[in-house]
Amino acid sequence: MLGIEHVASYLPEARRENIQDARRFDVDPAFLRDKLGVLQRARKAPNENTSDLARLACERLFRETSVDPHAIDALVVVTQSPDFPIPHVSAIVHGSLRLPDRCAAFDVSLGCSGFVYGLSVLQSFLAANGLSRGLLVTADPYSKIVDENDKGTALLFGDAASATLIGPDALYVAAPFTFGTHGALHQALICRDGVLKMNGRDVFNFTATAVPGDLAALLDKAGLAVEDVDCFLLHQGSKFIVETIARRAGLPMEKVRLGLENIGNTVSSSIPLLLEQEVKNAQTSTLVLSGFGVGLSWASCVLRRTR
Amino acid sequence: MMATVTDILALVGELQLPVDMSTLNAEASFKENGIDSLDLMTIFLAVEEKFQLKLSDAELEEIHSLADLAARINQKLSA
Repeated sequence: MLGIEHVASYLPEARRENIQDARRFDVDPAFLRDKLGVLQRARKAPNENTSDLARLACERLFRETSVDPHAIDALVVVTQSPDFPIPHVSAIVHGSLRLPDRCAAFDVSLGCSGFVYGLSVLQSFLAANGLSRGLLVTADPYSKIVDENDKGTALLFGDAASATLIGPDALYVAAPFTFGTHGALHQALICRDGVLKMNGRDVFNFTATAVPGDLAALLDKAGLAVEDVDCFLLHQGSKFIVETIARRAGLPMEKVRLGLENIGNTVSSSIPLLLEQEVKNAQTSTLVLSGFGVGLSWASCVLRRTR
Repeated sequence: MMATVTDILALVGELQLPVDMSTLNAEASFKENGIDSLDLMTIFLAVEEKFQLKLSDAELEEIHSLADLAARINQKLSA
């Protein structure tokens, strides 16, 4: 059965120190630690672009597995921060990785829900077309669009990329999925004239109300109770957002992963970065993923470990 | 249904915010009570859900304390 074979990531080495950067906004360090949950933000080098981050994540995945790049049938890049408006980032990555000519390559334009959507899209694409292996990449370096003088966004986002190998030798099988969109609220997170704008209250209200209900619907669809799930990998919007969802959905915090303190909110990469850690942890056999954000959009799924 | 300051204090207590409920002063500003901007979002959402009303961003800018909040809720409920 098709599923996730491996997950790898690329995190730029450079970090922005939030306590230092927060001084100009009169933000208490305790607020950074206890509420945002972000003390450092990963920052790509000025000469690195989205496709570079994506390529580096894929190259790490190839180093960590025995998969031949020539065995890749499809490449999907989830991003809303392309190198250029045209062409699609996946074409650039396809070229730089020297993937075979017969390999399909396309982008999926989604933000924080993108990894879960991309998982369903790529698995379905492979299955529908009799293909064997695909690469799902996430790369959304928001440092390209964040205004460093905007208190609402400047201290939150970090740069990262991930690469997930989908194939027949599945370590995790993903099913079922749930999806949703509140398109009427699309202006709550929007990039205008190259600058990100966020209505924090609209995003918070959406997250606090839509995601707990979606998690309940997913568990019902899967025939699972919260007690049956070993861990929840929620998009790392902020520590406050993750804790709010957990409280409203009745999830014990010991089952909810946090992983943004030293990197920030890495948009579509936040879930695969957490999943990369779980790959090494055979104790977690049933996982729930939930991504939510830009759109406003959400998607959740159950992962079951096979071995 | 009307909202008393006691109702609002009870609602805040249910939210388990990191504030000292024993010293919470409904007349003092949110900041003086140690309620930060994210706690406020939690309080406003809880109020909207409990009293089945919407508080606009413009209205929120005029609410500086829990007493202000109770007064605004009652103004909307009686409108």
